[in-house]
Amino acid sequence: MKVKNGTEYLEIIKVLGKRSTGSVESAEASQEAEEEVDEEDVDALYRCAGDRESSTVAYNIVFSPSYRVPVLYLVLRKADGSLEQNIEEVYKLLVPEQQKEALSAHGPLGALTMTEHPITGGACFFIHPCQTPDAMQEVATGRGVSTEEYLFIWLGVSGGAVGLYAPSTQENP
Amino acid sequence: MTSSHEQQLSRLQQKVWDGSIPLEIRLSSAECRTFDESDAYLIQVPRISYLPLLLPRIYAFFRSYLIEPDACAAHDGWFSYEDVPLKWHYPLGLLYDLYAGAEPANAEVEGEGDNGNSETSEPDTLPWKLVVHFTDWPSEQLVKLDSEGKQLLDAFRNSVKEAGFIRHSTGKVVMGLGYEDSTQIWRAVEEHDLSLFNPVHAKLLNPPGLSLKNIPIRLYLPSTAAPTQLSAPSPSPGPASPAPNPNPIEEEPPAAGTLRVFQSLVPPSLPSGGSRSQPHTLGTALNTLLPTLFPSRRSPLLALPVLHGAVVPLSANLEELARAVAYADGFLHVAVKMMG
Repeated sequence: MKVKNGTEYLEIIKVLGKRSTGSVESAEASQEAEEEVDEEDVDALYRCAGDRESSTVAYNIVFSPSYRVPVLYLVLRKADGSLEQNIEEVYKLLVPEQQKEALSAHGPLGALTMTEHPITGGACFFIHPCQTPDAMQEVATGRGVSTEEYLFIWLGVSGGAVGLYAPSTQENP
Repeated sequence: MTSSHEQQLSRLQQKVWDGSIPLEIRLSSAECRTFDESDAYLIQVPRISYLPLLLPRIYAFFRSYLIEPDACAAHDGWFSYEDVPLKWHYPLGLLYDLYAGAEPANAEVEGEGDNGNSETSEPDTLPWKLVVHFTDWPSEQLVKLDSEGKQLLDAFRNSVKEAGFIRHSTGKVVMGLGYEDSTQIWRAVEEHDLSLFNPVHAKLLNPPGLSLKNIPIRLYLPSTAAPTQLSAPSPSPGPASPAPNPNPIEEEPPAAGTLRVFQSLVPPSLPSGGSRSQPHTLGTALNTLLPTLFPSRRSPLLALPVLHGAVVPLSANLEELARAVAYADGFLHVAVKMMG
């Protein structure tokens, strides 16, 4: 968890290995590497990523006061640490093959575009939340859900498209 | 609502759309062939407009000064004020209110009616002197532009969608605008034409069968205030409130010269049990969103709300403000200035 400007948000950092030929392959390979990191580990993670080939992606999950849903922001950094603004790289490095069409067609996921990070103010990618409330409604309709269940459902709806998965040890709703 | 009141609101909206800021733009000296400053490009720009719309003209003007004119294009252009890159997706009026350091027009201080024209009383911040750059895009802070103006249009549309969602808790109204209407609202900005804007704006404000749920308002605080001085209530995320975090988190301090943005849902009326609930004023809304900065609902004690270059009285009806003087994207983008 991180706090900035009085707002809490969740940050998950994933080191992306050198791009292999199948994007589905690389998504699965890095799934094992993905884990929640707290403040002390961040430095360690960046040190490991000293390998010149690796970019990193930081997933930030921030609650949107306007849409009343969690929103997924992605801060993609090249190997030299500079910010990646090329949307093609997001597709190449993160989006599993079978999700590419869904994501770019602005279907149930909402568009992947660039925006200003609501907390840091920097440039980043995000999945537009306009479709999330309806998509969540479809999946979780009619039953009350705990915050945890809600987040797992949300991860299933939004996160998988960009390579963010719940740890496999957790039960999938 | 009497028709003369409606007329007043309509005149107010016209004044806001007529508001403009004279800019004096120079090319960054690092990119400039001549050792002296380049000539300045002078232009009067509507407050509700956006800086990237100027780029084609400005690039054409400065091209002959550029050391490497073939290495860059109009859409590589970005503006800075006192070395701070200006966010191109903010309307010009908001940028000026936030960064130019001008004293906002204040009816109570000047003892005269709001003439909507703060420009005449502040000669030293006008014309607003900006620097344009065509290289070294600050990619940490600014999303890159494209040659067709699509990024700008997308950012504007996203803002319109968000305002629409805030108003009616659904995306249907904005998504339901036909192609004609949704193009027209942007054309209204590009061509600075209120008569193109209002018909579409009316559809967005008054969808049949939907009541107004919340007012699109966003507060901007240039950070001189320390984080502990501010407390905005955090919205609760839904079915259950999150359990308190057992590991206390250290707050990252805001970097110097950064901006804090506050947004939370504000309904048109105060929550109350009775059938006659009081409408929110700007003062009650600010007191709810930033109680530490606005401890009084009636008088500004620590900070002033600035919109379109003028201090807005706290007694102003919030819903009317949103209808009459929102920016083109539908938001009330309010700059919060500390007093004293």
